[in-house]
Amino acid sequence: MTVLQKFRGAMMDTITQFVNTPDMTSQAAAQAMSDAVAAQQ
Amino acid sequence: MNFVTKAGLGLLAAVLLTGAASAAPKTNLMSQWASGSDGAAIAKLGDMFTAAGGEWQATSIAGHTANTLAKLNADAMAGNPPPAVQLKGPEIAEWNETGQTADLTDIATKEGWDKTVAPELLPVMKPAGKWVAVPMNIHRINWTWASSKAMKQVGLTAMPKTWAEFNADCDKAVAAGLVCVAHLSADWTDATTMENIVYGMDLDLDKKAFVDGDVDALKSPGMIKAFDQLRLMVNKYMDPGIAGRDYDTASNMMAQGKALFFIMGDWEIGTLTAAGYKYGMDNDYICGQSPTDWGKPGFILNSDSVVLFKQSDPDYAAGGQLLAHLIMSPDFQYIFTRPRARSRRASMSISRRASIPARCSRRPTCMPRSMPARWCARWPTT
Repeated sequence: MTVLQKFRGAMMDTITQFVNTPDMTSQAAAQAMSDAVAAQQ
Repeated sequence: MNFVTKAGLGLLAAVLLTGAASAAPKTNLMSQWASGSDGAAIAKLGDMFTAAGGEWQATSIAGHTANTLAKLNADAMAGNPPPAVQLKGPEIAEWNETGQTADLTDIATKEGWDKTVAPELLPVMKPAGKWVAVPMNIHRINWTWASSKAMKQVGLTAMPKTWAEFNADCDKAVAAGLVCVAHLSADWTDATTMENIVYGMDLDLDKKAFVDGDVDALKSPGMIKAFDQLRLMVNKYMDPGIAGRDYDTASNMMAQGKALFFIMGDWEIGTLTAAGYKYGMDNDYICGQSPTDWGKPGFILNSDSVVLFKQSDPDYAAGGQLLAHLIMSPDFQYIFTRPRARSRRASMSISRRASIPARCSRRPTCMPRSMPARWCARWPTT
């Protein structure tokens, strides 16, 4: 992940949430990761 | 020529380059390398700096890069940027734009860094044309490690080349009562696994999402497919005991044959070597490029690097030049990247580092035979 730390942190948070939340769907995770990065822009 | 002699020449060069008769070059390196082999490697850099006549200080900021950036931001806002800071990738360019970074171009020219540093790193270290940072190594992120014992147990003779093959191998491991993927409890390892998946499935998507930060790519069908693969791995191929598991425990799961695979960057070989494990199907583990569905060798590149900041004190300015010289020296690049430095240099105890020197003069360790001898050849990189 060669992005600024603020974006990398947002991506990592979402991915870890996905790993630790069994009922989180792939669609929801992808949308959440996109939203989290957008919020940092 | 031993490193002390070279360092002494570096000190002379630093003094000459700054044009000031520095009483004693000084520096303070702010980094996340606080303990263990990381801390030992930085301590060795400090020894080299001191042996060259400098006064060495190190400030360790434990935890995430965000913690280092918070400290750097605070110091810079106060008008007191630290002399040297561990930073990566785009952060270097962002800090360069503030005008607070030191110009290392003179020493870079004198020492020929443009010819010795991997070409992929040049635009990172000199984002606006002048050198402002020095790379310490190159990590390759997309490695998969496999237990030789587990592979034999489930009848495998080669590493999986695609994600479909990976899943098929995992199904065999699970059927044999093994954990397929050893994993630990840390957000960066979740991200590493996900990046391996995305990169292996769709190179263009990986670049758009994880290099460009494209918000459309991040929610694209390809990303959803990658999350599907991660979900499969979490639910079926990893075990339920991940919470609280540390790195060494996960590494041992693979090496001892309790798990088939471990997806981890090249630093894993240092951990394995330090623990006494040996490479080979007749030994403990083998390794290979993580699966790619596009059939070519690829390289997710990550480089630890140090940015030098302008200093009004001539001693610290000279210290920055000396530090840059030492980091770029073949001796330090060797020390910082060699997984078993202890066996070659008795005074060192740096056992867990295993990456590629940022200079193009040495081959990496555990490189698959299918890869070109010149590791810095231009493979698809992100």
